[in-house]
Amino acid sequence: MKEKKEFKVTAEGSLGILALGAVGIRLWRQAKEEKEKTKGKTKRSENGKTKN
Amino acid sequence: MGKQRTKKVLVVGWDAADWKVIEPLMQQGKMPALKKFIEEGVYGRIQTLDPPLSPMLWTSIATGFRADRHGIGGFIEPLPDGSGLRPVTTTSRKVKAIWNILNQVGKRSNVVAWWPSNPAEPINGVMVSNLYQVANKPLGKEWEMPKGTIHPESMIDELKDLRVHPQEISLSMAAPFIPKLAKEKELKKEKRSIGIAKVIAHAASVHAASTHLMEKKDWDFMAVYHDAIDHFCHLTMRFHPPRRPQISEEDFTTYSGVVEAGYRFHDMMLERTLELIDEDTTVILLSDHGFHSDHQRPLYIPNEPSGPAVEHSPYGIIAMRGPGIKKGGVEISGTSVLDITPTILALYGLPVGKDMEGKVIYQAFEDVSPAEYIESWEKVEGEHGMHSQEQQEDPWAAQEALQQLVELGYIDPLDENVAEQVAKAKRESDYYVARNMINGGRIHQAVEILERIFEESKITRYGQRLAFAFLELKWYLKCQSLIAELRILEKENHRKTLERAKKQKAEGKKLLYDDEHPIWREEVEEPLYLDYLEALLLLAINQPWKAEPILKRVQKKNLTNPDVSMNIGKIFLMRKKYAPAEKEFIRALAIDDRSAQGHYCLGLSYLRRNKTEPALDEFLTAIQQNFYVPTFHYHLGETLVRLNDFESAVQAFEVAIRLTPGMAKAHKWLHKLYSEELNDPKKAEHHQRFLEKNIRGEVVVVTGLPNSGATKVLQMLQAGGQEILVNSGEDLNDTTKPEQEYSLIVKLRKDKAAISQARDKAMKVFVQNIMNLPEHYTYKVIFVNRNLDEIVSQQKKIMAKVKKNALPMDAVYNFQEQLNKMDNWISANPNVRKLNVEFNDLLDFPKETSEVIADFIGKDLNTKAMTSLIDEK
Repeated sequence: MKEKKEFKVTAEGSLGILALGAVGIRLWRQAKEEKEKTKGKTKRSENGKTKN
Repeated sequence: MGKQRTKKVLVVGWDAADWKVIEPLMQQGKMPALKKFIEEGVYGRIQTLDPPLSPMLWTSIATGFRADRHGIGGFIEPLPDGSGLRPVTTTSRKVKAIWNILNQVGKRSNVVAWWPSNPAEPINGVMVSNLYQVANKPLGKEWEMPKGTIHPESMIDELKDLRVHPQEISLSMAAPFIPKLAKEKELKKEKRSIGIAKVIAHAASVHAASTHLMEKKDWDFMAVYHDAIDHFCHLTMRFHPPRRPQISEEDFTTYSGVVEAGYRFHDMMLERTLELIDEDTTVILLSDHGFHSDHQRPLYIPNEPSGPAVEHSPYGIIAMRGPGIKKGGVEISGTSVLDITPTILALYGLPVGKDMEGKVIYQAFEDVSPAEYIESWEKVEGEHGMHSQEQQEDPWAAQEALQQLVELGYIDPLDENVAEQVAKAKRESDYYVARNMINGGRIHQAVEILERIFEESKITRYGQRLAFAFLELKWYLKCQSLIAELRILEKENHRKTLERAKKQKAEGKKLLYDDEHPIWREEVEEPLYLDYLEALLLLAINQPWKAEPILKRVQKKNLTNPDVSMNIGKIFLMRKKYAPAEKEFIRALAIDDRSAQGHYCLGLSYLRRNKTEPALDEFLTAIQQNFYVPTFHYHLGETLVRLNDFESAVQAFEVAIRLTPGMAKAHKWLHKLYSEELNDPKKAEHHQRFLEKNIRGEVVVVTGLPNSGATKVLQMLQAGGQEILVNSGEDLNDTTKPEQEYSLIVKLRKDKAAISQARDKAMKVFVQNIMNLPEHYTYKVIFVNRNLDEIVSQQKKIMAKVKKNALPMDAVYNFQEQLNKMDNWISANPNVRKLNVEFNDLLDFPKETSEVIADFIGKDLNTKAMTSLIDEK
């Protein structure tokens, strides 16, 4: 059995995630998208606060 | 079908990977995946081809052919209509690649980023071309894939999003490479760090595509090529530790870790790749050439096309693991990049093409059953998945890749004058192909090309190769006059370059040369290669005493060419000066410690000085580096005899005989050892019988035109201890009578068997009669050459005295014709070796000439006695 490795995938990425190949790229892109979404939400909520 | 050893093969290409960098990293635990990989299989050095240019080499790897046959002649090629240039394409490949052959036997292949692989070939499987990873738009803009990048096109959607754009490379990704800049957040500040990010992105894209295909697609064969190590090295090897004085502290601090980080990144990618294969897969990891990482790093990159290739070293890496391959980290040797395709075919149990230039690497196999062969895979009909000859790709799609080659310094920026640029590129490509042909022994054809392009352009690089080719062909006069022409051209070129540089400096333009560059010297010394060439020429014409001082001069100025020290060492060996020979070979090995020839020659010097233990070590190392040289085993045998290890000696001599059947001296030793030491009369008799039946006698023949001095050489041989044959009543000291040849030569016209009388003896024969010698014997011919005027004058003197029996003058003037006939006869008879001796050298350098003659005869002749014979006169 191959040992399972755990990676913390951040939007910043890492050499380790690139070395994982296709799987790593997908996870990294996903993390970036999620960060973008979070950013958007924060901005929206910040905008909301300003409006309010 | 031959024996099938595996079901699947994965080839991983790491351009420019070199053990010299890898070994310390593995020792420090920094490349664990590769370390484990080689411990489970075999590994060794792989020899590159000349020129070490990657598109040519990777095509040789994938086909088993050199460039003149496979058709890829460098980095670029003209567009079919001649209107410009483009990176080399698969449409130019003239022979089947391994995946085309596998296509014909129904196997599925995935090929990723092979160089060249654009436009992707319509194979059974997936091909992702070498343009896949190249970003042609800034991040955020639609990054279209050029047409022909992926086959089948249905795969485009799932592969295009796996590409990493260089601008996506983050500080944390770049930090292992350039920690200082990453810390200072200056990743995108300067050209070099932008280049590094680009290379990381390319490697990540290629790796993502290959891992995706490995996971999602069925395959029997998979090949993935990474150019990143080569690119990291070209960008920053000059900053790799140890720091050299001309590298600034700041640059060193910033970039000294890039190469190491690059290799470690590849190790991480390898680990992932190996996780994705099953136990039925045999893996071959290799590079196409190495990369100088130590004191052999060049100080300057020549300002010429493919100039950066000067950083490449001649040995790359090979490692193999999996079904069919030996286990346990066995070292293999003597492999070439041409061997990969034949080896893959043998792994699958498929026949190897007899026309392929490489060999099966049996030493890597657990089962060495021989492969099957067919005449040629090119003649095999069936769907192979190659492009039709007519197919062309969109040249503009390739422009970004072309630009990258310009940035890396591999090619010049395009001129406005496109036609001239295309013509130049064509000549350059012809030059590479000619070098490749020389490398493959097709020297005559290469000379035709080199003569043409040198005549057209007067580019000295072309002339340089041509001169070496002339030397190889023994066209010494042509070589000599070309050296003279090159000396003039080099001076003229230097003058022009200096003028241009001065003008640019005066105009405040950016200069290619720093202040220390030799270009600024008004009186530049001639390039060293000219002296080196001249020394090699002198060695070739048996004037080592003239070659030696030139070689020493070259050695002083060029500390990185081991061949210079090797040649000096060989001169000392020939002169039986074993202590200085030893020093030279040690010096050569300090530059290239894996040179089999270097270890062998050092071993020979030790052996001749009775340093048997160190000799043993050197011969064993030489054999480890290259098993297939019979003389290595022969001298190992001789050493073991001196150490009284007769059983091992017998084994060594037996191997020498297996490698060169009929090696008389090894049979002699075996006869002696079996009869005198090992008490095995049956085997002793076997070798005795073999010697009696198969080994021809050897005769020394001294020849030349009458009165050229052949008699003098015969006398010298006699003085040195060689038994000679002279006619009864002939007085060799009487110079007043016409010179005679030994009468046996006339008898031989009718009775060929009479030659046995001359076995192991020396005799004199006139040039015009030399063809009477029966061909079933072995001859060492010493040809004494003398100035024609001197011969004529000597002949006249004799004629005046004797009035008769002297050679008619017509015969003297027919000298050249006779000489040509003799040379033709010698070149048609492989059992004849010839040594030219200049009569004037004999008089001016009697000691040195005696040493050359003694070395040629191969016996322990008394050279002092030979020399004194001339000195007395």
